[in-house]
Amino acid sequence: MAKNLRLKAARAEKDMTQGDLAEAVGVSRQTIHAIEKGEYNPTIRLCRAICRVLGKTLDELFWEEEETEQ
Amino acid sequence: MNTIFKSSKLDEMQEIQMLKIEHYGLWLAFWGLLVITIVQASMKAPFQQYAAEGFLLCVLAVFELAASLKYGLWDRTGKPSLWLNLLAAFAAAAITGGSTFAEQRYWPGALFSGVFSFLLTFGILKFFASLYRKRRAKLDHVEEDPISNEEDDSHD
Repeated sequence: MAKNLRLKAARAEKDMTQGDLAEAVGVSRQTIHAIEKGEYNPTIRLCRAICRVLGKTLDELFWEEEETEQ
Repeated sequence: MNTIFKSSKLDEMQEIQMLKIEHYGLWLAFWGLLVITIVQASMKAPFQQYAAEGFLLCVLAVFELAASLKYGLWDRTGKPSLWLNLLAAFAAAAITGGSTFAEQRYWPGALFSGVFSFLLTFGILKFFASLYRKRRAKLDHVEEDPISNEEDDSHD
């Protein structure tokens, strides 16, 4: 799974640390770290919670074009 | 069951990690108990010595079987088939027949033991495979909820 750099960028835009985002969506920092590193594929429920906190759409943060998908 | 999950302090990724740990722990216990039971039986230990391990092994096996059938699951790698059932029954026959012959050096007894194991294993597998197929068919034919109800669920 590829790294999710868009999530990292969106978090930086909001000036949030991984810990801040984790707290806002109710998961551990380890989980946010794993999502950004592409080591964990979050459920749609968590994706939506992250999008809501960062003010982005699912497409903006989680959509992958076919050639980048593994 | 819901009460347990509600009180969980783990998030979704940690929950998956915990389930994986428990999964490997369960299979370690299962195969470990099987090996311990077989080794003790082959060393001619008195039955009372390994009865508890054997009982726990049976409980684990029955639990796995019942839970898998409840959710219409058979195996990760495939579905039950006549060839797999025959292969498993043949393996059971070879193990019991071979061990009986090694122990008693009496081939008619070993043959009888092997044939009986073959028929028993094949019959059991066939029976549970048919239960699995019935359950699978039932789960795959559950009626859909009306669309109007789904709209109500769209709000978190």
